[in-house]
Amino acid sequence: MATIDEPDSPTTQDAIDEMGDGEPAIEARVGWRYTLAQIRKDPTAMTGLFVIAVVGVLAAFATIDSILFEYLAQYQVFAQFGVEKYWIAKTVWMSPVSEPVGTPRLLPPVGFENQFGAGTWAHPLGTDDRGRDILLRIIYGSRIAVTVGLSATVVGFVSGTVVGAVSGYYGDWVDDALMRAAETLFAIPFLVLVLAFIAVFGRSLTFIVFGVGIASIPTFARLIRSRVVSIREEDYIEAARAAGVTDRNIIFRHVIPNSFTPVLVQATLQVGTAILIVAGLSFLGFGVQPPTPSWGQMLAVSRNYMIPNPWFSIWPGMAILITVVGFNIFGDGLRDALDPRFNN
Amino acid sequence: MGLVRYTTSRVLQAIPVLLGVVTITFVLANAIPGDPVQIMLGPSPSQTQIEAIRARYGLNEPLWVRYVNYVAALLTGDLGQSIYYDVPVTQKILERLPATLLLMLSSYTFAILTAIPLGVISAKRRNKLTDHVSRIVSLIGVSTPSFWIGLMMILIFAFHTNLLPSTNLVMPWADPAGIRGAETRLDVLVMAGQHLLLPMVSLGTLQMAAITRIERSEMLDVLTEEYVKLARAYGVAEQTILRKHAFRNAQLPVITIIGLQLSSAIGGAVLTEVVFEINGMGRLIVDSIARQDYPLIMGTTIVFAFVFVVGVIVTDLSYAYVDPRVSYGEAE
Repeated sequence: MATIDEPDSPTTQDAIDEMGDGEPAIEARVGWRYTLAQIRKDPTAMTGLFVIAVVGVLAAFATIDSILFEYLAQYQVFAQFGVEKYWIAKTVWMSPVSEPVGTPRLLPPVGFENQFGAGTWAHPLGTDDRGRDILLRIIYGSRIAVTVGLSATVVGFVSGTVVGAVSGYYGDWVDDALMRAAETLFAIPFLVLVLAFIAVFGRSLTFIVFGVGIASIPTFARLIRSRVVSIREEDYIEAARAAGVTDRNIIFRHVIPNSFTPVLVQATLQVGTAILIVAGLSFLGFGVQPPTPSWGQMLAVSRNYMIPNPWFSIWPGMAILITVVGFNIFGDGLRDALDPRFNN
Repeated sequence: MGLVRYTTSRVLQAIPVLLGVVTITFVLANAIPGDPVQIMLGPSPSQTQIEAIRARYGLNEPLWVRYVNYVAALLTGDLGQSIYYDVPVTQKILERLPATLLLMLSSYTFAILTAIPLGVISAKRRNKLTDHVSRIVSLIGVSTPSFWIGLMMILIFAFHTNLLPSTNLVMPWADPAGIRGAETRLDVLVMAGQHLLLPMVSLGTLQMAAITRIERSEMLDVLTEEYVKLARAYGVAEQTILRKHAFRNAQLPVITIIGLQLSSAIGGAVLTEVVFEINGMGRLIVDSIARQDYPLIMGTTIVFAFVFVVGVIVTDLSYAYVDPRVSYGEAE
């Protein structure tokens, strides 16, 4: 007997050790902490996060500068300090919107020279057709990209999640009706739908946010619906129902939180898409109106000055590219971290 | 037999979707703040002018009657009258549609022909240099605005090196007599090819990148399947596994993505047409919005949706050629 037990006992003991108090040995492969640890191990995802953070900080700075100081400017006390919109920018640098005096137009970036002079560190990326600093305009343009990108995604994310969850949970004719509606919305190409929206409601930023948001509802709704349909039949939902929990609470407390992860990944990627759409709209002239800077609109203007001044159209495009790459690689990293198949 | 029935049912399923699109467009167009008559006639029209326009566009009828009339007219191919051009919307769209379809078809061909080999090679040489390069290229491709790629290519190939033209697209079926510098049909075809190259790559890059990404991940998924391991264990050559066993099975999700990419391709086509000054549907809708030409905006939106729906049906049907396991309902 002892001879038979002998070889088994160490392994059994190991297993017990691991399962018992040996918490580090068995790692839960779910939950926020685990996901964050996975992302921290992924240099590409961390790069994405870094890019998002930098763009986010710049955009936040620009937003605070433009909103807060516009508000402060109403008060007499600040008038003597010359407080106006874009106060910080104007004080330490120059205004991103109005034409500065004495700055050469279409100055090249540092290290280059053209008929208007050589690039200086005062304008590291050069100046635009009205002598405004391009770097400053790109920083202030990030405001539009980030705020519209994020808020449009939130609109699509929230409404898409509710539509998808309700559709998947109730099934039957509710499902049919909502999914046919989503399909219809999806059949109108994204940009065309947003354009139609702008054609009707006007070129306001709010309508662009809602237009882009509504256009992304079907993507989110389908994604969450497919998860909900499989979750609906789970025992714990059955139990909640038996315990008398209302449908609304089941959907919001149980169904949505448990179908959340793929939607979160989609949302991250969607921010990138939304930024591209907004840039396209601004490029077509349907975004924020000048002189407020936005990347797409800078590109539209640069088209007229491309032959002697290629950088004028290079920088805003690079800004869009880097920002969207940031969201895309972070989204990819998030998906890998949340997908148990990759975690071995 | 099964295929015919499947095709019919797919087409029938598309009808409510298209009707929905028409409804959304109609509701949007009638949600315009302000009176469309005022837009047409300017600030201070006379009463008789207003009455004449109202009668002409049927604006005196209640909304639902106008909706029914619009749908009924649509069935006969009548999308109304353009306010700005004062010609039927259908006529204007038929003028512009070929350029857009040509642009989209060529960029799709470019995208599919480059993306599928790139994705397969990337998966085959996973984590090698080729894979890294292809992943970076496709990442940049999905993250770059297509119109910016267009601008950069104009900068490089048209302005700096003068290799390729960037404006005035020549249609391949244009009459040689009407094209400057062209004498024969061949000249026209060559010119059309040169003109199409930059817009095609500019629009196709996004599709190429998106298809490469899905192709790579699907191939990687399939290559870890049990039956592939079994084939390897039997000593089947890696090339054969790739070509015969893995490739075909990885294509279904790829086809789905190809179909769904049509939505962003149409958006990209709008921007590409503006960048390369191509007189297609995209420029038509952009100009119509600026001119508040609502019948034309509605018409272009509906036709774009129609193109998308037809594209999705075609991708669904092409499943049959790729995957013989797909049944079309005759067994069920």
